Amino acid sequence: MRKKFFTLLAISIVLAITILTHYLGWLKPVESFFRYIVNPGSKAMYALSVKINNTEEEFTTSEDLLEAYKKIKDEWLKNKINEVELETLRQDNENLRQELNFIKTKNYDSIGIEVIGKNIDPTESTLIINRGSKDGVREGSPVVVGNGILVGKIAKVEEKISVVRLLDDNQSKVAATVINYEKSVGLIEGGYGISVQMNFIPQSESIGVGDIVVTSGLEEKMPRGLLVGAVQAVEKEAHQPFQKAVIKPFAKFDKVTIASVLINVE
Amino acid sequence: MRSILRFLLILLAIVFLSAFHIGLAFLLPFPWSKINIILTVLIVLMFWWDSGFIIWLSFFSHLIIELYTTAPFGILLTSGTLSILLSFWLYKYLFTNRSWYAAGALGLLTIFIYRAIYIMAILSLKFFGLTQILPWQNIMQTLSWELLFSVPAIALLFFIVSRFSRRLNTSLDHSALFKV
Repeated sequence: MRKKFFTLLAISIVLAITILTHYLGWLKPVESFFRYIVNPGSKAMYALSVKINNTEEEFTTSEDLLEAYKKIKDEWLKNKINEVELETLRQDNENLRQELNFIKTKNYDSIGIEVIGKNIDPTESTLIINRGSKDGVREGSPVVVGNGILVGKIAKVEEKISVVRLLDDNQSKVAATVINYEKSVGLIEGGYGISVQMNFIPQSESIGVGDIVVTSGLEEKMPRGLLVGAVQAVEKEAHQPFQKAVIKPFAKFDKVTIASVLINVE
Repeated sequence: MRSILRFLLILLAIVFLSAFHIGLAFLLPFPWSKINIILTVLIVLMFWWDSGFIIWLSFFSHLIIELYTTAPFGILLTSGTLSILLSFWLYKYLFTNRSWYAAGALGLLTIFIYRAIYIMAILSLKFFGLTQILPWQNIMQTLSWELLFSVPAIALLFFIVSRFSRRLNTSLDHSALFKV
């Protein structure tokens, strides 16, 4: 029993020393060495996983295909009937895209990044990217794809790599605005599966399904106008001061391979 | 020379184990990606090697995994290393039977201990104000999937390895007693 106690004590001391040396920065050469060996394999396997899991257009049975065809046909008919409304929406969309095309028109610097891996710990929803503090990446910086679609924020920065916390991570919180009449503000939180939830929206404000949600710019390092998603459902409870909205993100988190980190955002 | 080669082989094994864990987490679809590959392999290796060296293998594997998570450094390392240590003692004094169901039962307990230490570590950090959130729902869901898929994986891996390995094949041990 005594031997076991000393074994446990010795291992605990080794663990404590390892953790201490990490925070003092003395473990960096060892960490860099392991990353140097593991990163290429991680990047290759992540790229393969994106390829393998891209089953968007596949149908397993003819019934699925028939159902999809019927659904698309119904949608086409609805679109034909609402052509005028669609043209208006297209113009609004074009204006919104021009407004949100901030990487080209605004004075934000961005760093192009490549995703080399994703979360190992199953309790997180994160991506690992190939840029770090050496390239100017800072904690809290937003990560976007396309023309301003927010994917997440930088959660951890090392010298040559960083970790992005995706919007659907349970620790993710982003201040956002709904593009509605009242310009309702709220907090986008993850941890709800493939959707995210916008909380703390004042009960008195009117939000509709399909309303676009963008970042509000009310937090540090996060500019206003980054696309987050569209309202999928609204949850209201009587006598509560706030309502919630389920948001379907525009970004496909499991298909991100290339993105940009915004830096020097004021 | 022999000891250098042995050292290099062990280093290669550690890197391969960690890379395998990382790779399968990417490649396998949900919920198969919840299998804890490191613990699965280590428990079978525990029966194979019958040596406390497995704890150091766990230490270095989890050290590599720590580099790819956002959890505060040390949580996975501590829970991984201590759970394998406790698991090794259980193997030595409780699960002395070398069978696939013993491996599965040991795997079940190991994963419970692993997540219990993980939760205690996060609670300690929360107590000292070093972290704010304890994702209970996520941890419980992960634990459920990990148990559901890792335990059968451990039992299956042990069963397969025991078919090809004399060390793990208890039927050979019995027959040896009656050899003339």
